[in-house]
Amino acid sequence: MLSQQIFNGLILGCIYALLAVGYSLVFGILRLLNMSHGAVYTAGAFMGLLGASYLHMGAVPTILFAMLLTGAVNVCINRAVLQPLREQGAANITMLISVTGVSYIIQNTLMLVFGSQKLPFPKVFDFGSFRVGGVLVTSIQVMIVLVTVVLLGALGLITKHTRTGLAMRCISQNPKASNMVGIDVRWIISFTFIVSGICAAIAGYMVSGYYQLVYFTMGTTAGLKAFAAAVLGGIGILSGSVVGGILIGLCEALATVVFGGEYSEATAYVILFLVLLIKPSGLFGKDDVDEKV
Amino acid sequence: MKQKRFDLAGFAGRYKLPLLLVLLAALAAVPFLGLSSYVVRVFCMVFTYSILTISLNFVTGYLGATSMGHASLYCVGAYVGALAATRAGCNIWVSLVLAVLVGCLAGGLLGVCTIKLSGSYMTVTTLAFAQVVTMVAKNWTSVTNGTLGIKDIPKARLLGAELTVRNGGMYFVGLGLLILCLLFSSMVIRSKYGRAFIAVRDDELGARMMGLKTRNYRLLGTVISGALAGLAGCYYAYLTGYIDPVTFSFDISMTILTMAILGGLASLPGSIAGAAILTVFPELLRSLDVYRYLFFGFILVIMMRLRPQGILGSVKAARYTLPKGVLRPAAAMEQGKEGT
Amino acid sequence: MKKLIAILAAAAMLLSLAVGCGQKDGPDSGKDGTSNDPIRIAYVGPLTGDNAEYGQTMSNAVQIAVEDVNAAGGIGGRTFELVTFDDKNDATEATTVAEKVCSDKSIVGVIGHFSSGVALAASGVYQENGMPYIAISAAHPDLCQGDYIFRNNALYDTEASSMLQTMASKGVSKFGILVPNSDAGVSVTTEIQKCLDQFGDKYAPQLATIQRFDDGTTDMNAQIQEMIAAGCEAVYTNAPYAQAVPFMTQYRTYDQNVQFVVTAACFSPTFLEAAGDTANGCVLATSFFYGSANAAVKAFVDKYVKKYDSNPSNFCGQSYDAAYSFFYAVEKAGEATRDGIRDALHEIEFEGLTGMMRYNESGECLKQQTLVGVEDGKWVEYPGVLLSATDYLNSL
Repeated sequence: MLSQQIFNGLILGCIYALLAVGYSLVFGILRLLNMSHGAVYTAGAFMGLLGASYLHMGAVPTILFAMLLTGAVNVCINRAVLQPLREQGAANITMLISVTGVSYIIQNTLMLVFGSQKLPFPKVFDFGSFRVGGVLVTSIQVMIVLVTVVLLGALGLITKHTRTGLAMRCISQNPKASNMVGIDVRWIISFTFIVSGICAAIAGYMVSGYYQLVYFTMGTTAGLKAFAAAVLGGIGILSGSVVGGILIGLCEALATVVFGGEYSEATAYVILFLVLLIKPSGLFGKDDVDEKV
Repeated sequence: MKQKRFDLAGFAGRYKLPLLLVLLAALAAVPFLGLSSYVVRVFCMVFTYSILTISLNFVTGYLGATSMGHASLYCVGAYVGALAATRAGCNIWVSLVLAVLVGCLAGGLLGVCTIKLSGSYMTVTTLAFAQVVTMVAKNWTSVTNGTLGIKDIPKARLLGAELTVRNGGMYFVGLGLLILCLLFSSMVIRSKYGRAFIAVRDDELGARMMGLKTRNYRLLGTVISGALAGLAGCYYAYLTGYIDPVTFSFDISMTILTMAILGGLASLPGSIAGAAILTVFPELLRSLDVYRYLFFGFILVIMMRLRPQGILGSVKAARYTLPKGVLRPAAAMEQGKEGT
Repeated sequence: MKKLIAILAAAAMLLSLAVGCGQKDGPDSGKDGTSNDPIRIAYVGPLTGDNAEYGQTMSNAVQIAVEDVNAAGGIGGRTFELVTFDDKNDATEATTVAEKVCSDKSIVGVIGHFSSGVALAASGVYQENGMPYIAISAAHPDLCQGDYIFRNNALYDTEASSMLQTMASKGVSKFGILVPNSDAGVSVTTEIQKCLDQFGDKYAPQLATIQRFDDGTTDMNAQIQEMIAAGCEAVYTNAPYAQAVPFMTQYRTYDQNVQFVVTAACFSPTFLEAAGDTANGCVLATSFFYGSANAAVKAFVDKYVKKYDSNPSNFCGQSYDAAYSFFYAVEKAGEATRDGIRDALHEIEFEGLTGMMRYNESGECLKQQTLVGVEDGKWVEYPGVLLSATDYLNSL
């Protein structure tokens, strides 16, 4: 059932795309690879678990709750860790190491609070399933596609058609000049982190609902693969993240068919590796993007 | 006022060699102090991680290329050592040499992959490289035995006698390897190669304009790094007797990086200090072990914020030493005066 | 100046490590093993991490065993004491912890370690230091290669045979297996293929496909599609519940009729809770069933439920029996020394919770398995379905 495999791969790809977008946003504006994004995504998933299983809130309040928290966490990361380093003029590597440290902190805090085992997550958006030409489509899969489309559409709108989006694009080109023309750089950067956090929360909730499992290491693997997706598409470019995510999802599904399940996990890394070797700026990236980053 | 206080730093500076010898003697005495083999094993792990941190420093400290995939080179060394021991029946000394050679190749491969990249992209490539190495180790079953790992690695032997942790043999092997690494590394750092690395780290464009073939030096740095990591890996294989692909994870890469950062990038004593602290403290605080990676995270964030050069790192790089025969300006003036 | 301080600090730390570890050594139980201090046994296993549930439940079971034997007056007038250590199911940690345990002269036996790779690594240390060790969940065939290493667990060949017998009893014509790309997965696949070769044409069901997944995966959709395409009517997986549950739930969305066969690792309350309705109808082979009518089992289960508020798993039963193996060994040897226990372990024989406890020359305790399944969210036993591997082979 190759068509089913391809469809499942597409759904997987949407999930990676949702996460990849968060990386792209932060990289676009700060030239920083936000290695803590995976941890924030895990935090979002756990907040979803908190809301759904412990506080018994409905789906929408849970998602809003998760978004609130991840947005707040991301802003904290920016304010407490990254901003002082930026103002010190620290090298990008310093910031990269700091965010990696932050991801360890977040992940392990989650482990200490929720335990280290895999916890069950309740089924969400369970309205049944239907068949389209031999391919089984479940309602949650439909929701994932819907959410991906809506979210990315919204992000595209914000970046292209609002003043805030314009400010974001200015800052990604030249932060000093943006400051000089009166853009509140600090606020826009915080805003970007909030949006990135919101994406992480949504992704966390959808994935937890899809696989019905939450565990504190879910951010490391998913984060790295989504990162591969972002790089594949051209980091900093939103549409690139979507394409990259979907491509990686498809490749993973097909890798199981062709090579066997034990190799599929490595697909994303092999792709990442090849992209970085051949064309680091990715499919849609311009070559001037990867200067001394 | 200062003359009244005993000048400890000056004392240490003047009597560096005797102090080092005393330290060495103390270290050599450790296995005979009647301590449990557990303590000796911890020392052996400190030696392993010290060598790994020094090898990471060649890439990250002296070359300025942060590597988050160092466990891959460690893994290669361990597998080569284990295979040499189990498949080819080599003794530890031959295995070590083989591990160093293959480590050079692995380091070179990593260098080739990252040669066109800089900064964050290079770091991510090292990550991906590490994942690919793990995948190869897990799936190249005919060579690596896949996820079953390589077991029953025979103990090291010297002149017919077995060297184990219990009889202190592996301790001295580890100490010896560490001293070898230190000597080799300080030789390299003080030579023109070391200066070239630092030049590439501080200003690659400038270095290139001065005529340095920066790409060659970057490759050399990763090759040396691979060699040392291979050494550590082979030693670890003989120490533990069993290796599998899962051991050499991203967590290990981050542990080594944290050690380097804590101790001080581009600092040999710093590498040892970082490795010692982050190996010993988790052992002392085993009851708090569940917080270990939480601490590591805090260390990374705090060190980067407050003291990026680490505990023992100096803000400047190694002091530039004039070649022999060249007088310092003050001394030259004196001589000039006497001459006239 | 700063350099010197730092070096001195590092030296001080190393010294304190030496001192600290020296002091942590328990009271020396002496060469003849007579003193009035409690006899200490250690449980080393994953108390944190992915397999923490297994580690903790096994440790709980040993704790109950220790309490039971102390309540009965101990052995030779001496009581027992349990100390636990966390190895995080990591080989390097395990060897360091094993070394630590061996340095503590008051500890005379070790139970535990979860996965085979970790157990292998640690057993090297135990063998070198002469510490008797009983493995509970490791199933790698080459584990018991030292005279100090014992095992109380079904080997992969027993598991393979039980699984194949189950498939035959269900009357399926085609079945598939899903295994992790780990030592457990590889070993069980090898044993299954060995058994199939042995059975030859007399064995009706056909192994349609072998699917593998990488150890951390939760998305098995691709593998499931392959299994459906191969026409599997039943599937077997030896993954622990963290992967088995997503596998089963994902499979059910595509195929409501497929039957699941899992392993004793899923015989736990967390599995039932996580799987929900999907668990109904799945079966597994285990050497310990907490619903058994056996009086000793009932007593243990009651105590376990009272103390830990959940039903004990298969490994719990095996851990309890391992602890009692140590107790009876001390009794047999007449002394609580490591060598004495090692020798005595080969001689003891008693009826444990998981069947007749007897360690053969290699240190293995062969287990007989029984079939259990889930009906209406509860485990029930199907006695008499499974035979021992040799009996089944002869019956074909």
